Order: sequence, then structure tokens, then C-alpha cells
Amino acid sequence: MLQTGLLPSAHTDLVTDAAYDFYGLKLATCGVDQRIKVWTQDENSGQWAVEDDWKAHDAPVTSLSWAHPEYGTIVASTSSDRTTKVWERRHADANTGRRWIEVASLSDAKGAVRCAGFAPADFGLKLVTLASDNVLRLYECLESASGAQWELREELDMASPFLSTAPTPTVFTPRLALTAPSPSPTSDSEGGGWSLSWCKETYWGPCVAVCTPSAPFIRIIHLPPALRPQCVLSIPVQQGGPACVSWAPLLGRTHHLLACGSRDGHVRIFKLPAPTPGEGADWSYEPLADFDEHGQGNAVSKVEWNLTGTVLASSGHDGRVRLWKASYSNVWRSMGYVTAETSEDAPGGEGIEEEVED
Amino acid sequence: MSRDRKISWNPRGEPQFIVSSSAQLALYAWDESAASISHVASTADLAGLRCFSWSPTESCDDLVAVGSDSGRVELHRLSLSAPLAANAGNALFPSAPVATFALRNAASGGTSRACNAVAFSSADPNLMACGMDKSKAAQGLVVWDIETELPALGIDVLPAHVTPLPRTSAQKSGDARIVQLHAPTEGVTSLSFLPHSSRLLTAAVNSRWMRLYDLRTAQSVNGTLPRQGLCKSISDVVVDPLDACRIASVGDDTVVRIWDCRNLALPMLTFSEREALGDGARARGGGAAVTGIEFSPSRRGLFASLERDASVVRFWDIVSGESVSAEHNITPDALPKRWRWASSSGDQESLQTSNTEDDRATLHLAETHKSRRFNRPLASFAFVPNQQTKHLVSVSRDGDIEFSVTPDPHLVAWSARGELGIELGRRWRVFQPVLGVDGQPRPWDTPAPTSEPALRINGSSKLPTTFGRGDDDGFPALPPAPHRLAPPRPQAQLYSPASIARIPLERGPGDATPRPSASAPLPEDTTSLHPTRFNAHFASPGRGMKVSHSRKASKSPAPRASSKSRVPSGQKSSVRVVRDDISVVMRRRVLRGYALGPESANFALNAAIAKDDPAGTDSHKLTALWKWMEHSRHLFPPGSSSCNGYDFAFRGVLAIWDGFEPTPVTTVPPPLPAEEQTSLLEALVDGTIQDSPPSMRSMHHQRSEDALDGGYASAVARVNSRRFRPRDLAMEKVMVATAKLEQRRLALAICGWDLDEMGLNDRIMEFEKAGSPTRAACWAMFSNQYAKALEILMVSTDERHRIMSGTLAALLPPNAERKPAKEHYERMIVRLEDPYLRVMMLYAALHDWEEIIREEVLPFDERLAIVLFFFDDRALSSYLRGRAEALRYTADLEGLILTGIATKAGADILDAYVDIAGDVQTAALLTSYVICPPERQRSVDASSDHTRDEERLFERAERWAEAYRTLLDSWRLFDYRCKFDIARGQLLSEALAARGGPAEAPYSWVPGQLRVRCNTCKKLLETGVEARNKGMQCPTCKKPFPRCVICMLALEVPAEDVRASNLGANSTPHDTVDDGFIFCSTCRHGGHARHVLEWFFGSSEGEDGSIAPEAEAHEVCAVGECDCRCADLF
Repeated sequence: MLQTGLLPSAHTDLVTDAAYDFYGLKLATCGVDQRIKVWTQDENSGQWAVEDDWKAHDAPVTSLSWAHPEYGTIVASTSSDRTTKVWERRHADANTGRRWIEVASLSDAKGAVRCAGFAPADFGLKLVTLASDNVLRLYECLESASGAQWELREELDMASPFLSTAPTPTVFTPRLALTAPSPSPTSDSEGGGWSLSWCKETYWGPCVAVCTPSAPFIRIIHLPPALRPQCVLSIPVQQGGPACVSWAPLLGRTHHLLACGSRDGHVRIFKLPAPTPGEGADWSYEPLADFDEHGQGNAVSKVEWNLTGTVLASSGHDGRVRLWKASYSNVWRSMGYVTAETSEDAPGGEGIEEEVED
Repeated sequence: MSRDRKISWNPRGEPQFIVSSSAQLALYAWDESAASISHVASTADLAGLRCFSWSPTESCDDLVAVGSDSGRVELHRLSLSAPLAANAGNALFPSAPVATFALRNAASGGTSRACNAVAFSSADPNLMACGMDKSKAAQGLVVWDIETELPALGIDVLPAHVTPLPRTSAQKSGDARIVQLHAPTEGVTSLSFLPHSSRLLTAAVNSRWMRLYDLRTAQSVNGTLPRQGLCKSISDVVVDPLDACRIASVGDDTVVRIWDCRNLALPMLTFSEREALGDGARARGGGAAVTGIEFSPSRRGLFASLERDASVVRFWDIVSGESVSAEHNITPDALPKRWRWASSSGDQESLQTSNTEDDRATLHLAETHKSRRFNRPLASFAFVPNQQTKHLVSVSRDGDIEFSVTPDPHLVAWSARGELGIELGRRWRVFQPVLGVDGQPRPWDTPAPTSEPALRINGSSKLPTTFGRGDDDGFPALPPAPHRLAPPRPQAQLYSPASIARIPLERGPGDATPRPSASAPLPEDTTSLHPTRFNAHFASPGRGMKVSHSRKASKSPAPRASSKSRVPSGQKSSVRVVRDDISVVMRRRVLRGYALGPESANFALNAAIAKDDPAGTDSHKLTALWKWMEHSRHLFPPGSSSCNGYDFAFRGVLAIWDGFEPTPVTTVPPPLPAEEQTSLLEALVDGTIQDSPPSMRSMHHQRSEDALDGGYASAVARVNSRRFRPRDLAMEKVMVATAKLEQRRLALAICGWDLDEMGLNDRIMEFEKAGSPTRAACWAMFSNQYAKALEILMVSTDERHRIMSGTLAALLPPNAERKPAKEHYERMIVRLEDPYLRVMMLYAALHDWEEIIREEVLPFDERLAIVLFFFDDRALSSYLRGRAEALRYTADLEGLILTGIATKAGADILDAYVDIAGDVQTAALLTSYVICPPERQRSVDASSDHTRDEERLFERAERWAEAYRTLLDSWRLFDYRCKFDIARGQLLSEALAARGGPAEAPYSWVPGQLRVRCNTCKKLLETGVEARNKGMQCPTCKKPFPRCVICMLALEVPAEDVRASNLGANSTPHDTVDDGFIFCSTCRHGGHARHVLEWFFGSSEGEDGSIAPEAEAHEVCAVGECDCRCADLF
């Protein structure tokens, strides 16, 4: 049975992102109200309580990412104010009682920073950010004990042609021209959202899957420490372009799973056979599933894998969170959806509505 | 000309709205809970209705100003005119009170001008502004004071003016009610007071100017001009109720402009439908006119626009960014294409946007999306105040009123505990799979310093009350599980027992996990522990509800009564997905004791745990596999599993039948860490390898003896002779003739079917007792005990069984030769439901073994037994190989019984299993039992396929183990991870020992996590080496070690081997770990473990084991100037 809980009035405005830490015992939420809130769960009762809450940015916070606990309790937040900030949980300040200290503020981006993600722990304390200036930035923390010194290691213009590796299609218009009645000069601005997701396994080196609105494909970018970053694979996402991407934990499987939600309302799952690591690892992909349950035109804004990569949750503009799971014959199927809305904002409205379509 | 309908929501957010059509206004009330619309009042015969505005006054909620083509503005109270509307033909009723405002000739410019717009101030509801058509002789903007008219309209409460405004001279205006006149010779198409302001009025003037009037200055004719901004086209302005400065305008050029009233020089942001191309918007030629724009009254930055003739409303999320300094200006190129400001058409002003003033915040379009598509084109829409969703009320051109919710996508996140979190606007909802076995004390749980020991005992005995108390799901209340009443942990055990290397973990003081014993009751799975409130209904109210004014009655969805009990089956599959996912299952398994362990009890426990896996997983196969593992372990206990160099442990049936390569005998040790390697190599050269432990030597000895015999067949025979009593198997008299009897025997043993007469009869009895008489009868029949088979069927309680016995009796020898009835039997077999009855019929009537083993319902081991008994050698080989091949890429765990685990085929099955089921836990455990590290030393000369396969297998096993360790870490089950590593190390060294490597090489299996290096000479300190000389100094450079920061004595390296004896033998256990040293990795201060722990945690264990009086607990480092909080992360 599931126990449900509600974290009431998490923010005074919309929540823009939320992330669990490595252990699932802390939850950080951020909102349009420019604040970050950290919640902790009582391991025995499962109840969540606010631990700290602070104004983090001068503009809506766009995303959050937890670092591996090996480096301390660290959260990175990105914001429309063009900064990425790194916060660390320290001992409560005697005067203010505040636990979270801003240890770094990275302001290289020339546009709103849209998302950030810490690399797997084995690669060191590294952070990748994606800003709306279309640049992917790789930061590395040099002194991981204090977490204060961050160096910009790579700046990668996602529009730059070198990223489009030769064999993958870069031109992406013909289908559009057919559907659009009068192809206007801007019709190539077809795009999706900003999203990045790390490969959680260290075996293949630091790899991150990225999608940006200007490119109708997901790109897998290999960021080796010494060499130039390289786009090792780009997966075209037809019609609408990718809106979000999520890389499943490998967990001993022989293939990687990559989920992608797109603006046209499709949830797609790609299977990436694990390449043999080493020189020129051959990444390839094959489509595994393509669902349009969210409804035509209901853009899918978030896809998330669970810990084991066995259940995919997707969330679309139809207001539903849909769950997907592979059957024993390895066919991915819809497992219904969850709408967790209460009918009113009433404090007593703790009931949950469980809607399932079979 | 019929005007478009307009819809307007109550300005104070009450659940009411007004719809206007060509000559009437209708007031409706909206009941959200019932999802119904009711008509409240309406007023008709409003000739020339052009615009209307709803007064925000608190005195009444039906005061409406109506502007008409003739230039008159009338104040109506809709509810007062209700009877009139109802009896339109009845002239007896007096007309509803109406207050009329019209400009006299002088002010009106001689001719009648239409009133384009009318607006109230929300801060001062007595102020009403009217925007008039252009006239050469008059002002386009009139501000009225309606206060004097209110009593006539039946409004008693007269709100006072908040701040009196200066008045235009009365002579000039000619009407005392006129407060101010503005915009001479100009036309005003739209106007609005800024929110909560009675003095700031924004207006669209002359289709060009975005103007902001400050009503505190009465005259603007000759004075300074009001603040204004020029744009290409402007016809409509709206203000943002949630942002006092934000104004949006739209004009005929279809471009929406967002302004900041503090600086109207340039719009903050301009966009048009073209910006939404990525969201499926069509770029029409030039775009269609925008007929409606509105800011959400409840959600910041949400803006909606409606194009003419469109049947969708488009939403825009506008977020403000950081204030931009000059050098940080956004150039259009730097922006992503999709959000490019409308610059492609060479629009001057949007290019200028990038040069805005420094201190202004920038705005972005964060997102855009559409409402759902309505059936017919919309005329107008309005936001329904609702913080959760984008709730709209809209009216189509035919007058259909429709409420629609455009849902927002919810954020979702998974936690490592399988918790699913879903964002709900401002809130966050979590779905937690309840394990029911949580909450056990963990080794590092430090008891709260204030709690008394007695309290803890009470606490633990109280536990069962929250545990298995029975619930609506039919779970009976459980007796308290014995292991829960584990004695309270000693208080001073502050650190992890993971460091207690030599103490068997089962005896660990804080170990609350069940002992792996088959009889121990499992901690009951109380997944349904917490009464949950599921409010199951299929249609949530407010979602796409359509109330069609003219045709359809509203159908309010009846929410199902919320039920505490289990929601009827079939609708909870998404819940089940979260609850029964393998990530949750694996964690529950660990907590219940699913683990690696050499004893056969472990296998039984694992099997029992796997059995409780939720339906939908491969639980019965997993159970069967663990039972088989147990059986195999029982057959070939560690240490005596090999014979003639053939290691039989966990071999599959196929391997037994086909034979396999003997375990390579080697004297070369396995890979070791570099330092040890060199020393061992030296030892080899010196010939000191003779000093290897006695156990190993004896093994060498034994092996050489074994090697004399050689040959797989004889090895099998020897194993069999070791195992079987002289008399033969019960079934052997019916077994087919075979050349490989010994292999068959052993294979049967592997399947658990190597039964003698007694054993077979016992098993038949077992089956019968277990309620499957057909199964019992079937095996009785196979073993030619026909009479017994029929007897079993006859005494069955099931009538069908008794009937079948007759049929079978007729068939069985010597009557079995009745061929004519064959077809009849075939038909009959198809119709039988009981698989064993089918099998019996197949056997008796048709004697068709091929068909029998195709009965997939039969347990795999049973089918294997049948094959082994009744298939001749060739058929048996081909069957086994065919099955192995067929199972290879399926995730069928039972296939492992056939293939064994440590084979390529077995690993392929496991691969497929992990791929599909994600159960890396089982894979990691299983492979840890069997897969040995490859012998790298050998591979130098022989890069044979075998070695490479072995290497690949080991690599895979390592990755599974690594993935499993990460899982355990993320569940904070560090102690279980340590146990896993320890057990794995034991098993691997066992395997190596069997192969002939050094029996003790534990270091290579668990990577060293910490090394101690001398501060002076930088030499590694190997624990144990220097233990013999009292280790207060570095054994290499003889320099003393650093001193403890508490007692100021030099530290020492405690002797590893003394510890076990200290702990075990003494009546007063003294743990040498207490004398070990610990350091803070931040400030590098440290000292004796017991001292430092006492410093930070306050309590310490006295020499006699008693708890010393509470000492003060410190937060910062003990070194004077150091303010490091060393223990924060402890």
C-alpha cells in the first residue's frame, strides 16, 4: 500500500523544480518565488518537515540538483537571473539558525540558466549547466572540501556545428514543410525544452544527454577530462523536438535506457546498447517505445526514471502523471496515471484521487 | 451588427460572471463543487451596448457600467432588473433604476460619440473612467464620480473617496459628476486603472499611444504630457492584478507588448503567436487579430491571449529575470531561436528592447501552451481565479458557456526509496511505498542522550503495536515478531559494527536482523500498515466540464465515496506500479534478510523471502531457484564439492549431462594488491610457499590423489557413490536404457528427484497431503504403481478425480492396447483442466512423453526429472540443449537449473533477467556464489576462450555487485552492504581455496578503503605487522606517532589479532577499536577513538562495561583554536 503525504504550501508561488537527494531523505524544492526549501524525511514515520527555507535568487529558480553525499550535502540551483549557485548545508548558524550557505555563485551564463546536473561522484565534483544562451558549461570544484572554488572547464555552444557529428542528420525540415501550410522563415525554430541528464554509470566516461529547443534531437555529449568534448550520438526526435530527457540508471543492464518527452505529446524510450568502452565507443540507439497517451499537442514536460530504471513517470500538459513499465516480454506499457489533485485548496483536502485507466 | 459576446469574471473573485451579447447582460453564478452554472439575473434592451465594466465595489456585486454607441454610460444593477427581464412584456413594473452619464454638448463635441471603454478603479470604486471615440472638439477620456448616483440605485453604503482627486473646472465640463477630462481631440479605445490604484490610469490612445495618466494632476492639456509609449498599433490594454506595474497591450498588428508603467519608452517584451511555433501554432500570414488578452488574477506571470476565430486560448508564462547591466545585454542572437523576440520582421522596437535601461528587470517567455481545443470558435474568455490550474470560462460566438481547465504538467521526482513526488502548484504530494519492515534500529542510530535505557526497552516492546495490527485488507493482526524484541543495544556502541571484522555478524550486539534460519518467522510484510485515504474517483471535478447553456444540462460527476478499504481491484495499477516495483521489492528483501551467506539456511531464507514478492514478479521461479541452490549446496557442501578436479557446486543439469572441464588446478595465487603480490612472488621464488596454511596443503594432497583417477565419468560415479546408498533409485526400474546412467543419477540428484523407494513414496504422500492428489497419482503411475495411483484418485474428495480413475483404470496395462478410443482420449485430454490429469491421460492413453513435457504448468524440476527418467540418451541430450538454447535469452530464472549459473548460457539468462526485471540484487547474490575471478596469471600464455569467458563473467558479476552496493548505499543500508562484501569475500576466497590459491586473501575482494601512512617517513602502516612490537612509533622510522588531542599520549596501532580474543574471551570485553585513532578529515585533528567519541558524544563506556556518567558533549574540535565541527558528518 502506498502512504501518501502532502507538503502543504511549499512555496508562495509555483514550484518549478524539486529533487530528492541520493538517499531520498531530503527533498529540495524551488519556486517562482525565488526561494529554495529543503525538507527532511523522518526515516521511521515517513513524514516530511521543513528544514530550511531561504531566498536564493533574484528571479525564479529554474532547477535544482543534488551532489553526491560523498562531497557533503550540496545543492546547485539555477535561475533566470543568469546565475548558478551552489549551496552547502553546514552547521546551523548560531545567530540566524540558517544551515544552508551559498558557497559559490557562477555567473558565466549570458541567459537564464535553465538546468544543472552534478556528474556521478566518480568523476569528481563536477556540474554541468545549460543556459538559454545555448551554451553547456562544465564546472569543476577544485577544493571539494570547501566547495567554494569552481572552475569553468568547458563551454560548449550547443548550436556549434562541430557538435553535430557527421553521420547524424542535422537538417530537419522536410516533414515540417509538409504540415505547415505556409512555411514561414521561422519554421525551423521548431524546438523543445531545456534538459540534461547524466549517464549515472561511470564505465563509459562522463556522458550527458542534452536537449535544447533549437535542436530537434537529443545529443549525447562525452566530456572526457582531458580531451575535447564530443557529441557521440544524436537521436532525432521527430515532430516537435525533445522537451525533456532522462537517462535511466543502468543497474547492471546490458543496455542503457533514455526517455524523452516531446512537445508533440509523445513519450519515447530509446534503448542504447552499451558500447564497449574505450577508444571511439560506438553509441547507437534503437527506439523501444513511443506513446502518445498524453494527447496530441500536450507537450510532455518532464520524464523521470525511478531508482532502478524500471518505472518511468512522465508528466504532460494534460495534467497527468503517467507511469510506464516494461512487461515481462519487455514491451513497455502504460500503467495508468496518477492525478494527485485535491478538489480544493482546503487544508483538510488530503484525500488523493487515484485515477487509473486500464 | 451583432457584437461579439464578452465575458467577464467578478472583479472581486466571487464565483460569478457576466456575459454580454448584442443588447443584453446576463449574470451567472458558478458552483464549483456541483460544477453547475445558474442564471442569476439579466438585463435586456441595452440598445447599442458597446462595452461594460463590473464595479468592484463591496457594497453590491451586481453594479455594472454599460457604455453604448451613443456615448451614454449607464449604471445598472442587474439583480434589480431581474423581475423586469422575467416579465419583459409586463409594462406595469417600473423600470429598473438606471443612472445615466452623458456628456453635454459642450463636452461631447457636438456630435454623439461612441463610448469605447469603461473602467472602475478597484481602489476607489466611485471612480469610473470612460474612453470615447475621437472628436475634434472634445476630450477622449472622461473620469466620472458616480457616488451621487448610488443611492438612486439602492446602494446604501457610500464608500468615501480614498484620496480626493483634483477636478477639472465645473464650468468647462458642465456636469458636476465629471472629475476630470483628458486626451483632447484623441480617441481612447481601451483603458484600465492600475490595480489598487485610484490615480493611475492606463489607456490606449489613438491606436498608437500607450499612455499612463496620473489623475493627481487634473490638467494635462497645457502641462507636461502624461507618460506614454509609442507603438505600431494598440487597441486593447489590460493590467496585471498581481503586478502593479505590468501592463499588456495588443493592437491590430497582433503583437502583444508587455510594458512596465514606470518606463513606457519601450515595451519590456513583445511577442506574437509566431513565438509559439514550437508549440504547434501556425504562423498565419501576418497573424490573426487578437481579440482578447488577460492576465491571470491568481497566478503570477500567466497571460492568455485569444485570436479572432480561434478555438484555443494560448497561455504564456512570463517570468522576470535578473536586472541586466549594460554589458550583459541580450542580443537577439544570444537568445534561443524559439524565444527570439519578434525581430525577424525587422521590427524596430523589438531590436531596441535589448538596449533597455540598466535597472530594469528583463522578462522572458518561459513557456507557452494552448488550452484544449473548443468545439467552436470562442468570442471571449475570462480567467476563473484558481491558484492550482489555468481555469477559464469562455463563451463561444453562439453563446455556449464553457468552463475548462488547462492542466499544468506536474513535476515528478522519484526518490531512492521508491517514493514518487508530484508537484501540485505550490504544494508537493508524495506517494511512499510503505515497507512495513522499516524502523529497525540501525547500528549507527545513536540513542537520544536524554532517553533512559528503560525507555528504550519499552520502546522496543511497544513496537508491535504499530505493526501488523490488522487492517481492512484482511491482514490478521500479527503476533509480535520475536526478533523485534531484540535486547536494547548497548548505548555506548556509537560507531558502526562494520569495523568489527572478526566477530561473526550474527552475534553483533546491535544486529536486529533475523538470524538466517529457516524456522525463524519472517518479519511480516505489513505493506498495508498505514490506513491510507484513497479517494478514488474517475473524473475529478472541474476537468473539462462542459455546461452548455442551451443544449446540455450539466452533468456533475459523482465523486465516489472515499473509502478507507482497498479500492476495488483493477483501478490501482498505477499504485501497484509504485508499490510493487523492483526497487521497493529489493529494499524490502534486504531488510527482511535476503542476503549472501554460505550456510544453506541462507538459501532457505532467501527462497522464503522471494516467495513473498508481490505478484507480477517472477517470485515463484525465484523461489524455485533459491530452493534449488539450497539443494545443490546441500549436495555439494563447500569444501567437498569437487571430485577429480571437477567442481560440482551449482552446476546445471546440462553441465552434468554433457560434462564440463575440470577446474584448473593451479598453484599460482590469484591477483593481489601490488605490495602483497611482490612479497608473494618473492616467497614463491624462495620456495617458502610450503608455509601455506595446513588446510591448503591437505587440499593439494587430496587433489593429487584425485587426479590419479581422472575422467569425468568416474568423477560423477564417485560423487554418486559418495551420495547414494547401495540400493538403486526407486524409479530406475522404469528408466529407459541409458549409456550414461551415472550422469542421469547425478542430474536427478540436482533436480531433487534422486529418490529411493521410501523417498518416492514419501513424496507421493506429500503431494497427496498437500492437496494435489493428481500429482501424487501421476508419480505413482510413472513409477508403475498403477494400483496406488488409482487408489489415490479414488479417495480424492473431488468427484472428477474419482471418475477419472475409472477411465485411467481402463487404459492402464494390460488393457492399454485399446487403440480405437485414442481419438476420444485426445479430445478428452484437451478438455482436462488439471495438468496432472492431462499428464496421466497422455501417459496412459497415448504414451506421449513429448506432449507431457510440454506441460509448462509442471514445475521445471519435475519436467526435468521426467525427461531424465524416460527419455533415451539422444532425446535427452537434444531436449536439454534445446531447452538451454531456448531459455538463453529469456529471463526465465528456472533455466539456470539447466544451465547452471557460472556458464555463458547461465549468465545470458541472468543478463536477460536483469534487463527485464531489473533485479540486480538477485543477480549479484547468485553470481557471488559461483563466479570466480579469472586467473590473470594464466591468461598470459593461454588466452583461451575459456579464460576470456571467465573474465567476462567475472566482470559482469563485478558490475552487478557494484550496482547492488550503490543501491544499498542509496538506501543507507551500509551495514548490509558491509555484510554483503564480507560474505562475498568469504565465498570468493573459498572458491579460490578450492582452486588452490591461498586460502586467505581477503583484501583483494573488498577494495581497501583507508590506508594509514606515517607522517614522517611516508611509509604505509600495515596493521598487524607491527602489532607485535607495541606500536607507539612508526615501525620504519621509529618516530613516535602523533599524540591524542585529548589525553596527549602518543597514538598506537592496535593489534588486529589481539582484538578478537579481547572481545571474546574476557568477561569484561575490551575492544581494541577503542584504542584506534580517528582523525577529522577537515581539520586533521584526532586522537584515540574512545576519547574523541567521548568528546563529541558525551557518554563513554567504563572499563567494566557500565555506562559512565554523562559527560558533556562538544560540538567543535578539542584543539584550542580549531572551530572545526568534526563530528557533524559522523
